[in-house]
Amino acid sequence: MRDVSIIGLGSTQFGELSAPIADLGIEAIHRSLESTDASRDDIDALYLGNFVSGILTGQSNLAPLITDDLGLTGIPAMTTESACASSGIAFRQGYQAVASGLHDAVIVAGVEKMTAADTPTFTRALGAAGDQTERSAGLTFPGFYGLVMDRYMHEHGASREEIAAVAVKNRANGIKNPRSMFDEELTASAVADSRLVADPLRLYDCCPPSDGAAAVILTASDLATEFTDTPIDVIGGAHTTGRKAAWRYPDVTGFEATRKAARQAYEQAGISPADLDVVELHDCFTPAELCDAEDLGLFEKGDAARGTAAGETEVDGRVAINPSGGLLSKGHPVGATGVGQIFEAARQLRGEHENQVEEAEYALTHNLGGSGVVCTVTVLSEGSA
Amino acid sequence: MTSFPLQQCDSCAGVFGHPVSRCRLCGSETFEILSVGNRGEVYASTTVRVPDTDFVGEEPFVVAVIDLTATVDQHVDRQPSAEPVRVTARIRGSADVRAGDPVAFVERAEDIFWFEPV
Repeated sequence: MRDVSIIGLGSTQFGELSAPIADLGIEAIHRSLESTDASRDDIDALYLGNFVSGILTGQSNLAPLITDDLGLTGIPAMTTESACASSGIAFRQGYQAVASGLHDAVIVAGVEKMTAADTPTFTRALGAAGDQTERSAGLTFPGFYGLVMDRYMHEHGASREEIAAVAVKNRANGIKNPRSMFDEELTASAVADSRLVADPLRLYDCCPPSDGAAAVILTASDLATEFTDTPIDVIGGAHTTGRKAAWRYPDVTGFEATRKAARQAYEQAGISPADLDVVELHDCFTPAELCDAEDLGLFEKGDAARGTAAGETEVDGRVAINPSGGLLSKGHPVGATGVGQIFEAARQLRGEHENQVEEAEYALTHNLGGSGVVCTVTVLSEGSA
Repeated sequence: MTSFPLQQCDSCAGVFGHPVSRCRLCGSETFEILSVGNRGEVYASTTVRVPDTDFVGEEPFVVAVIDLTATVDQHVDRQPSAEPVRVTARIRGSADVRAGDPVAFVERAEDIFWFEPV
């Protein structure tokens, strides 16, 4: 297997956008191509993550359509769908294609457009990734994480204020990120006073529906310096599966798909959680960040709420979690999120992020889908060029 | 009292709270229905206040993960086990149930298990 590096980065703004979904994908891919010396002729394939465009916009089959629009007609192009991990999996597919030698350079992108739909409609669309045993009872994804938060507070004694610290921190980070959906400060009392969505989850415990796209270009590491002076190396990664529903978990305050993916990724990268400087993890809801941080080995079980409230995960803390603003503030265009996280982490390692973590050397991204039933983890480091 | 209708595979003894037409462990299509009483305990609960299109007008409603109190010899993930059987269900009315609260099975209607506080 060959080593793989990121040589191009592109993203749209995340938020409420007017452009059609294909145009968002094209914008992000154009930007990724403009950020590198690679030309269209160098691109061997496109891997595109997308989850709900068929349901919400009536447009599916996006990868080949965008390929033709981009003048890349003829190359293989595939859309990957696995709920909110759709583009994390696109990245794994692209990585494997380059690492195996099947392709020398590929574009990996993710795109989603959600804000045109009303709340019950996109709630149902996202719920399609849940198991029928729980959908039939009316359980939504906010409801699933309401169960997680209820049990987390019961098991670990975390307070409302400690859990709100996740939303407050990520909003403060997002304000510094020009791609973030929100730009107004959030306080713990505003979180605690916001309306209930799925008890005990409140509005500001929840990520917003969002539009957006992101793209990266991958190539073999020994070819990377032909295209850029600032490659980012992909030094570890995994794609795993877990439990399909809340009732399937022995303990719903953590996700075994994350734990397994993290173990595999750390082993491949040859690092431990203590080596990480930047983590972009899947904070779709405030309790998710706590569970994910513990599953990734950044905290002991049950300690993440206290540690977050103590500032350990701020940009200048022990480990910076979601300096981009995360899903809670930057936004969660579901099919774009996984590649969007990699885009943000790579910019940190290049030292060019708007909310820069000082001397960032290692970064991890974590993209979780459905009820934690699917997960990808990616570990990045400064390029060796 | 309505006993919870637990399915046990005739072939491998796998136990299923949520109904299945084919055993998830061995593929068998024949099951016995076990009578295990109607009592359970709330493992976690939430009140859904923003439903999807299929449930608009029913909100707020309570969804809970429930451990059935009775245990049976079974196979879970292909390992012998006597762990409680866990199901996701609705709580009748909009009762504010908490983790650890006792509940009783009422009925299964339209693919939904219904419990009520005891």
